[in-house]
Amino acid sequence: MTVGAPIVELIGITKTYQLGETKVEALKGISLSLKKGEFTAIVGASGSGKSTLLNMIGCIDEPTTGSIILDGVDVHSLDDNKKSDLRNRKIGFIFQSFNLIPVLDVFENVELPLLINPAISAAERTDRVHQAIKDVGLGDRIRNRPDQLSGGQRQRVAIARALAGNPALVMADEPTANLDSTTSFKIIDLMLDLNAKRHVTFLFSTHDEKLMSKVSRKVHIADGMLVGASKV
Amino acid sequence: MNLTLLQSLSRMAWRNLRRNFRRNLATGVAITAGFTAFLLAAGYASRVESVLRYYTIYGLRTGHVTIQKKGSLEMYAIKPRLWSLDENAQSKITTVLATMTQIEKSGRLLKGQGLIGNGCKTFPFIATGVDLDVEQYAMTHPELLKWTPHITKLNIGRPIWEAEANVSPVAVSIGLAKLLGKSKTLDQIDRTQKLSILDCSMPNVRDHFSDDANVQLASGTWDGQLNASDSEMMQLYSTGLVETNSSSIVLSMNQLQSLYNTKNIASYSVWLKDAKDTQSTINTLNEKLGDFANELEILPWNEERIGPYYVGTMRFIVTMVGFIGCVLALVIILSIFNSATMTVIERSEEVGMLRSIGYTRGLVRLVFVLEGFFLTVVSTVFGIIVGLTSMFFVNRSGITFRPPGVEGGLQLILVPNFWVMILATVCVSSLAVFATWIAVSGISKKNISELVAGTHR
Repeated sequence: MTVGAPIVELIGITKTYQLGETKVEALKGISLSLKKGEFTAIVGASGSGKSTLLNMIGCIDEPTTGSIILDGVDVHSLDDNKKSDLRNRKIGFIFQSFNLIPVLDVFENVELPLLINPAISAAERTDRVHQAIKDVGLGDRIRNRPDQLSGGQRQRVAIARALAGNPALVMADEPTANLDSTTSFKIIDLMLDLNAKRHVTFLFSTHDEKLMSKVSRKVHIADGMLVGASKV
Repeated sequence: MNLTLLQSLSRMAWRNLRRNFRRNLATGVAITAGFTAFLLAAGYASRVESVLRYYTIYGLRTGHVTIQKKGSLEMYAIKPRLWSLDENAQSKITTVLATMTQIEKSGRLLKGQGLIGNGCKTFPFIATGVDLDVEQYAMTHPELLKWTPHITKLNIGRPIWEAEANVSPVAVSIGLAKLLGKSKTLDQIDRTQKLSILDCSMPNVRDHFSDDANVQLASGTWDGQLNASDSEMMQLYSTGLVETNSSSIVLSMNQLQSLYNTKNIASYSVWLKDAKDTQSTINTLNEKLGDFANELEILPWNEERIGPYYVGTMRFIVTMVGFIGCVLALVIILSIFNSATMTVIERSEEVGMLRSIGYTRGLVRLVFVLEGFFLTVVSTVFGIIVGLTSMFFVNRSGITFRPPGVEGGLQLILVPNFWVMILATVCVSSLAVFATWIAVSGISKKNISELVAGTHR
């Protein structure tokens, strides 16, 4: 897998939470660059700041200081609606607990982010949804509802939903935390496969040592600071 | 927003109603029950309104528009001669009325007081003098017969416009006839029998009051003399109101004018082909009557001084129904708000997911507002069905009741008012949208990462 120009640049990101009278510094001046096509894991213990960092990169939380450049756009300069638009077009999210809508079937769940993108026609939307579902291997489950799927299948639906909009970056916060180890490996293999096929940048957090062997780049975080990076 | 998105969100909202089915069912049943209760109350108000409307316009012979001398509504009872319309005024008004095509019928009214006697005793009366063709028009009007059968069914005898030329007919209210001890109308007695003068000192004289239908009317004339005349009781009728049922009589305009020795009248009543033309007719009359209009008061039937019973009763009923409506609206708002708040709290991760994949705060609110809207619309539709069914059975059951001041029993009939239904549906749906919007707006502003993680609570 070849990597290209930077998709995400973090410059001196800090995040401080006020808990009562106590200030908690979750991130302490993190600078990081992710290039197009990279498959990166953020690794660290619980409470190290992995999720907070992912939230910043995913534009679902604001850093206290520092700036985030996402695909050439300074996120800080955007208002809420423009950030929503940016998330819709540039980022795909995969959640630990899948977060599928139970009353919608696989197709409708995957279609959700595309519905609010007026640049995508109805025909193109249908094609993209079908392709994404096929890519995650659920072509025969297209009209099933989430409660008719296994945990691994639900996460595949979530991956298809994240990919359907052809985002620049797919982010996953501990995507395998609710899955057994066999399924976890399958999901990571699927993500690696899609990374190779679609050249889409993947960034995910995990503290599962077994999964890290499959990742090309690992970013280690501890106490809100980067403590090292490694490439396999 | 594109149509496909709205369709998809609507589909999602509709299906979401199945989530938390019991809560949504309970909320829906509360809305349905409240809506049904409001429709029944509105149905009752609608029925009463129609009864009073047509009773006022036709039963009281008020017409849609009345024309009288300015100030006469306050002063006529005291000095009728000064506050009535003389022949010259009548001529001017008649000429103008004849040119107006929107008028279905117009007629003269004369009101006055006096004493009515049975040969032994006299009682005060309040008389209405009316041209017989006008009386026939008003008393046989389909709307009057449709809405006030509880009054018209009490009539006994023949109407006064059917009287033979050699008879001076009078219609006497049932209560007054009872006071007079006269229970038979002209057609119910042996007319070949000669009238005899009663010996009022006879112990059983009351038994003979009904031997004939003759009554004596006495009054002071408008020029200060005393006058009296004989009349034949053609009809016993109910005024519908306790207040007037023991004092009212109706007789022909000529008879009453003759009794008061006048050619004047109290007012004109104007009935229109279409009631919607009431105000425009008043405007036209003012215009066509020119300067003379300044000496007149031309008023609609629902002006408080013309139809005080209608206006007063309806004001009370509308206030009551409005109060019930406000209470129900509050209940509906709180039910929806409570349901929406609980739903939103339970589904905050879903809100976080939607925000993460690019849904704006407005779109997230819309998802929940659509749910509240659908729940309300479905509930109100059920409310309409239950309300109409209830009305059907109530109307079929023949329940009668006696409203204060109304003579005789009134059947409880609930009249569905489709405009009220539509308006109430729109109001309730709007309130539901508003309540849901308020419930959702807080959570849609929360930090997305906290929503996704469920740490916002």
